[in-house]
Order: sequence, then C-alpha cells, then structure tokens
Amino acid sequence: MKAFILLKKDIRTVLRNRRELIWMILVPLILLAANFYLQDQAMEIRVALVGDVSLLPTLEERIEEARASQIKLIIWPLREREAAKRLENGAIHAYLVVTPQAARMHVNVADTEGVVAQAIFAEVIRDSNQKLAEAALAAMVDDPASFLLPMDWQVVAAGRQVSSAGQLIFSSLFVIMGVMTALSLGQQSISMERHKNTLISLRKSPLTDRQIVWAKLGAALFSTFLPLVVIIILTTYLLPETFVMDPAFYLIILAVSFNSAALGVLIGAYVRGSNEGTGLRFLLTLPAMFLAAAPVSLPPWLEKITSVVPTLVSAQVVRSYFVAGYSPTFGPLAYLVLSGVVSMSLASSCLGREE
Amino acid sequence: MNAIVTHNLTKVFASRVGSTTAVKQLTLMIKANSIYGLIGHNGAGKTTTFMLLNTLLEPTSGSGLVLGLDLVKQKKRIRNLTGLLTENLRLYDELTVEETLFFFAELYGIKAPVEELLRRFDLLDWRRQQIDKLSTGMRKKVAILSACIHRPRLLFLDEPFSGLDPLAMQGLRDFIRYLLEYNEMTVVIASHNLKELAELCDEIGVMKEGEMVVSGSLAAIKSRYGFNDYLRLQVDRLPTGLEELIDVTAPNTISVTNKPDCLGRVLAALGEQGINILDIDKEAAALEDIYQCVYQEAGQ
Repeated sequence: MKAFILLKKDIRTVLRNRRELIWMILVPLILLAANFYLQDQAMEIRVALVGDVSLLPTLEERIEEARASQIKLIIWPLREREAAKRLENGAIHAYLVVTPQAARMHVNVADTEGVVAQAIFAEVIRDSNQKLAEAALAAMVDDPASFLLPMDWQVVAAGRQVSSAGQLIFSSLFVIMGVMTALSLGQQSISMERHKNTLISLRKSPLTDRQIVWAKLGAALFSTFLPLVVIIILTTYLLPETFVMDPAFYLIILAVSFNSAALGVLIGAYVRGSNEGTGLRFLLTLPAMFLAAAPVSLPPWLEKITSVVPTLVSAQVVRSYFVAGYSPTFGPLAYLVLSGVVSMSLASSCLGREE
Repeated sequence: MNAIVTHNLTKVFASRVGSTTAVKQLTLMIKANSIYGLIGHNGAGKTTTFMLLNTLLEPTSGSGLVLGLDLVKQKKRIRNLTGLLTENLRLYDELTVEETLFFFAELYGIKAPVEELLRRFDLLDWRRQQIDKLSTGMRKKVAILSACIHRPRLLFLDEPFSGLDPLAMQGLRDFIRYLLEYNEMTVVIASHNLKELAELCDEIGVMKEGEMVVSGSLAAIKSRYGFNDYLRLQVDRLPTGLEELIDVTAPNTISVTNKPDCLGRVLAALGEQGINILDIDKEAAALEDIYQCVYQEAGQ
C-alpha cells in the first residue's frame, strides 16, 4: 500500500505539470497529422508489366485517367520470372501479364497496395460492366479483340509484405509513444528524485526499494498512457478502426510500454550521471525508431539482434502488427513482459548502490 | 544516555580506478537530547557519516549503535526513528506545502498535526502554495518539517543554513531549539556556518579526510588548543607592570584573558593603581580560528 502513496504523489505531480502534459499530447498529434499527410501523398503502387511492352504508354495513360485517388502507379516492363521473384520478395505489389490471348494478374493481396492495384486494373481491363471494359480496351489498343479475353487473377499470398509509408509511420508513431516515451519517463522518474535529493528521503522512509521502483513504473506507465488515450479519443474518427477497436493493439502497446518503462527505471536506478543515462537511452531507442520506420526487410543477422534487445523486439512487434495487417505475435509479447519483470528486479537491487 | 555510539566505523568506496576511504575508523559518542555540530572541509566525510548513521550505506568495517539499535542489524527500526534533511533537498515543486507534509506523514503511516505545525512555523498562510513559489527560507522550513514529520528521536541536518538570509537563519535556529526543547530530540548538524554552530551546539566534532580530528564541547576544544575568550576593558589610563597579563589593543583599551586567576590579578592591579574602567566588552574565540588551528595541527 505504501507504493500507492508514492504512485499517487507522482500522478498528482504529472497532472500538475500542465505544460509538459500538453507537449506530450501535442507532439504525437503533430506526428499523426504528418502521418495522414504522408499517407495521402506517398501511396506508391509498383506494378510490373510482362509481355507486350508496346501497350505500356497507353495503359499508363488509361490508368492515370481511371484512378480516383492520389495513388502513384509505377508500371515498367519485366520478364515474367523476374517479376515473380520481385513479387515474392516484396519489391513489387503486382504484375500484369498481357498476351494476345489473355490478361493475367498476380497480386500480393496481403498488402493494401496490392488490393488497390487489383481494383484499378479491374476497372480498366475487366470492369464488371463488360461493355465499359470493351470500350476502355478499344480505346487503348488498335486490335481490341486481342484483349477481349477473360482476365485471370492469381493471388500471391506468400509474398513478403510490402510496407506502405502510412503503415510505417503508424508503426514509428506508436514506437515513439510506447518505447521512447515510456523509457524516458521511467528513467526520469528515478533520476529526477535523485537530482532533487528526494530519493534519499524516500529510501529513508518505510518504503522498500522494490516498492519505490514499482511505484515509479506505475507513474511512468500512467504518463505514457494518458497522452495515448487522449490522442485516440481526439482522433477516433480519423484512425483506422482496424487497430483502434482491436484489443490486440492495446495489449501490444501495454507490453511494449511496460517493458520500456521498466528498462527506463533500471537505467535510472543504475546510472548516476544524467549524461550517461541520456546516452544509454538514445542508444537503446534510436535503433528502435529506425527499425520501426525501415521500409525494407532486415537481413537475417540483424533479425537475430532484434529478437533479443528489448527495445528492438518492441519495435519489431509494433512494426509487424501494422505491416502484417494488424495481427499480433504473442511470443515476443511474452518475452517483453518477462524481460520487463527482470528489469524491475534488477532496478530494485541497483537503487541503493552506494547512494 | 548516548544517542549515537560508533566504534571504528569505516566506509570504503571501491571503483574501477581504486578505492576511496570516505570515513576512517570513526569513533563517536553523541549525547541524547543535545545538539551536535559536525564541521569539516568538503569531502571530509560528513555526508557519508550521515548516510552510515541513517543506514543508507553499509559500513565496510566497525560497528555502531543509533538510539541503542545496531546499525547493520536493525536498519528498518533506525530509519523509523531518525529524520534526515539532505543537503540541497529540493522537494517536489508541483506539490503544495500541505500536500508535501501529508505525503511524508502518509509514508510513515502517521496522522501528523499538519495544521498545527504550519501554524507553529508561520506557514499556515502558505499551506496551498506550491513549493516552487516559496522563498528559500520557507522551503528550508518545509524540508525540515518533512524530515521530522514522523517525530524522529534523532534528526540529522546537512547544511541547513545554506542559502538563508540572517533573518531566516535566526528563525531556523529558534526552530531547532524548539525541536530539542519540546520533542526531546537529538539533533546532529553538518554545516560550514561555524558561527551558527557555535551558537547552537553543545558539542562539536571536526572531521578531516574521513577521520574525526577532535570532538567535544566548544569550551573543551578551546582549552585543548589554547584558545581563550577575552575581556576588552576601556580604561582612563593604561596600567603599568601588567605586560605579561594584558595586551594593549587600542589607546586606553586593554585585552585580558577571561580566566578567573588572570582577571582577578588585573582587576586588583587596576584598583591599586587607581585606574577606572569605563567600558567592558566580551570577545569570544572564533570557531573559525579554532577550526583552522585544528586543521593545521591535524595536517602536521
């Protein structure tokens, strides 16, 4: 119960510090606005064309007219084997094979971009209204008969995920909130007490070191979740329902924040100098930020590292949730919770180190 | 009864670059219900001594009893019975005076008469003021109140006078005397303000490089190092034949050691020579001078 007294004091302190609170809400809101802007601007769909390359300029022109959004469609000719390989490793979202007898499209439907590409091509080449499609094709090629064949859609679900800019920015936004904010608040919760010389007063009181670090963790989590909740409430109608209404999303943020805040508390308890602490914090969080926003798949050796270092595991968990179509991976979540508990135990034993 | 007894208490800090002995074989006795002053240069080991006596650091060797409790084996009980004001304690800027005191009282699981305390120390009008809006003197008062909100029997104050104006120092002196008088507390003060310590303390200890150089009442230390208080007498003319007993410090002003035998002989001689005393002024040996002498001697 004593820990609750300290937690209550810390929460009161957080709520009183209005300027800091406003910044904690304002900065993610700005990032979110930037996310929507970039998402709108940067949706890029890469489609390869296999077969009759002479059709390319007409096809591009036709697609440009047909699409309604700000999507940037990139089409270029490739050999089928090369196109299939690129679709498999995620370099392109789809490829279209055009022969005099048939039009066949291979799509990675695990990606938003793949699905959008499918829709656009369906509109242009094989509209549900066959007459409209015929007219469209007639306008495109000299010999429409060569195209008036059924379109064959082949779905490639096994292909690697191609991340959209929007998904990556969502991923980095929540890594900033879950990892960077929680870690920073966890560290500060202890180092500020040390800086103000109040840590000695707390350690001299009937509170045990364990109670102190757990209360500090609670306060760091409160300060992490408060802006998050406010932001989600403020932007309910803007954020995709796919994750706002998904309990798994909150489970991930909870595990990631818990782990990061615990790591922050450990750094705060162990490190005496503020510069040393800040350096360590950046060393742990910056790679996580880059990882969350990295548009490419990681090489195997880097993937091994990201499955051990807690902040990188957190970034991977958030990233894969957004990139893999909002499906959580529970193994790494369990690892995060476990390593968070270990961090707290170490923090408790470090707190009184030659105080 | 002694509030603190230590025997060869030693604290060594080990690091990669070597070890530092912060407190070296400290043997100390502080009487209960008294004010003890600890003086020494920066790094002399005063703060480490406070940390050891509050069980916030484990001694490397040696033993000690605080309020009759073992320093190593009865940490929790000692912490409940002692209060500690650390140097430069900044408290929580966002909390009010009242909230700060309630917070510390709650931690110790007691229902403190906060309103009464605030009234007693002229802080009632500021009860709802945030700590960062208070003056240094007021903040110091709140810090001391928070350190002794649980009515400790032994209170440690590390540099309580730093940053205070003369008026606030006077207030703090009264406050410490009040604690001693009404709460039967023992107070240990570490400070560089020797003038304040000389006025407040019953006993003084001088530390140098982790060692206690001298400890005892101010009078005993003065006597040990040959320091005397003086009486400055303004006379209508200078006496003759008293060169060994007096110093002429100004025209018609003589200085005499404030010891009964010496003073008696001078007064008798003045009477015999028909010299009138116009004014008397007492001049005490400054703690600064004693401190410097002790330090120099310890250095040799």
